[in-house]
Amino acid sequence: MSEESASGGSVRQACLAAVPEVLETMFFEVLADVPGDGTLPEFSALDTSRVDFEGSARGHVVVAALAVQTASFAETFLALEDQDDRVANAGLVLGELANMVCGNVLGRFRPDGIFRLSTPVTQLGRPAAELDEPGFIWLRFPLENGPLFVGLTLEVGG
Amino acid sequence: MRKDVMIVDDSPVMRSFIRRTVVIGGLEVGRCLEAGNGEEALALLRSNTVDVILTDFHMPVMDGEQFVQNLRRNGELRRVPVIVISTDTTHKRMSRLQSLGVHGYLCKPFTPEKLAHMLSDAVPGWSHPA
Repeated sequence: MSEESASGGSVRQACLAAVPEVLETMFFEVLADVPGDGTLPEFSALDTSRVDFEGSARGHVVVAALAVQTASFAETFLALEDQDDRVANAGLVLGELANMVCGNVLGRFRPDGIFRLSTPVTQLGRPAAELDEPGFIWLRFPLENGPLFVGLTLEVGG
Repeated sequence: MRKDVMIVDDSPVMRSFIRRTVVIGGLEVGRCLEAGNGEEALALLRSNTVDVILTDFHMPVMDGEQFVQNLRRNGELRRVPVIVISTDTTHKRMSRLQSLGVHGYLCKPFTPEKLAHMLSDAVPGWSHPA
């Protein structure tokens, strides 16, 4: 991992700028407080979605949230009024969020780069402890129904 | 005036979001065809006509770039305006698609107003709200 990698400043700044824009424009979610570095809630189960990328840099982006917040994403993204519909679509919508966050962070971090993004892999109700892999930095974005966590790893290539 | 639209994206929830966003943007939609990748889209276009195509870039089987290349090689489809909607905001990707003659490149996230402006600019006679 280089100085500009996830532990460095620029990708972190890219993420801090990208996530609120994605949330506000596509999900009509406004941050309830100032975002910053975060640690995962130790004993919670989280819905997660992960996108891998490679090209001018390689790494992963993971988004993680409590089920109530994931259902809220489905509600606002698809204008769903029915609770069952929200739950049924929560995983797919979380995958879209991961995809948009990943693309937006990379576009800000390496606007002259070129990347291939994987299809999002989503898991619902995952123990938070499983997510705490070495090399990830986690950022916390406070929202009305609970925080959105965004995890990043990044290796800068050619 | 209603216009027929095709939305090409491997994510069904994103197709649903785009369909809803076109309507929120104030444009009247006639038929709305949907496909999960470029190959499915080309198959649908053998027996259907549309006024504009909105396509993702990153898709399995046939991605957005291959899809646009196929459209441009087809005598009947080459003039259908194509707008790429993608999370990929890197300059190289955008200029590569624009060199293939796509009408516009819309980066996610986007507002309904931005999409409506791009569509009304791409499709003659399709007006957006003042």
